Amino acid sequence: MGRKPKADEELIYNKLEQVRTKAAMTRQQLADAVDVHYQTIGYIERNEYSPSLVLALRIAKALNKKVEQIFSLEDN
Amino acid sequence: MAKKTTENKEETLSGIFEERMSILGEKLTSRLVTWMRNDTIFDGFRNTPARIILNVLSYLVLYGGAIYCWSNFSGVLTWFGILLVLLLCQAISVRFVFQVQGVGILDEYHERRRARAYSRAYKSFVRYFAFIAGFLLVAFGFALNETLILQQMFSGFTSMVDNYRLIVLFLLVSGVVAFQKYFSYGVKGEPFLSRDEVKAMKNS
Repeated sequence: MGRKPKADEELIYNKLEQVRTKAAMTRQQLADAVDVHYQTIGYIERNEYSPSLVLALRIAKALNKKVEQIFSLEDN
Repeated sequence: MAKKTTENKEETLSGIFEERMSILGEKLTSRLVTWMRNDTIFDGFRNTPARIILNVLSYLVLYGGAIYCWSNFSGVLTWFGILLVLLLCQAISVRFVFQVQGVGILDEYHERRRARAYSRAYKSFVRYFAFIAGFLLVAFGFALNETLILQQMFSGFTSMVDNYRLIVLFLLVSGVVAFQKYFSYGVKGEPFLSRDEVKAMKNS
């Protein structure tokens, strides 16, 4: 939430930037598709913010991927 | 009978007028807030250095102004004006997350950050109250057998607080209440970017 998550908070890793770039989508386009601010996409990509399940599912749908293909509990 | 009907009509008309004016007011506020929330002109208020400067300024003006106005009442209007300007700057800096009337919150990131700010602000208020209550309790405990000391303390305070100082005190408390949520929001702002960098980030 605007800062790096503390150690005791569950961190969700993601490959959002890679997947989004591969899908040739800009941050603004993805943000418009999932109805958030483009900065929020940036926070998620930099692991500064863990999205809600609803937002994660919406992002996956917008990128035509399964949610586990983008988000995971382990840093792969 | 005819007079009553005319009165009823006048009341209905004034009711409709008031309703329309309030809808117009809400629309105007909503447009203004949406513009200030999204326009890149205000990006300079939203980055971390800007938030640090704003918070330091807010602290200085809020408490420094109160101390100054306590003995120089002539400055109270200027102090009040500067506080209002700073409140507006703070609101712009957090993209009006605390302004929910007429305009929805931006997204879940801002919603969560707002919830955290409210929670921290609540804890701060509890701490303030605990401190004041603790102080009064200790003072009362010391003075329990010495009612004279308590009387002297109370009369000393009341003689110090005249009407003007009461206004200063009221403004200070209102200021603390109004600013606390912005202080609790934290200084972390959006990335410090130039306009070209913002464009590049959006389109990257």
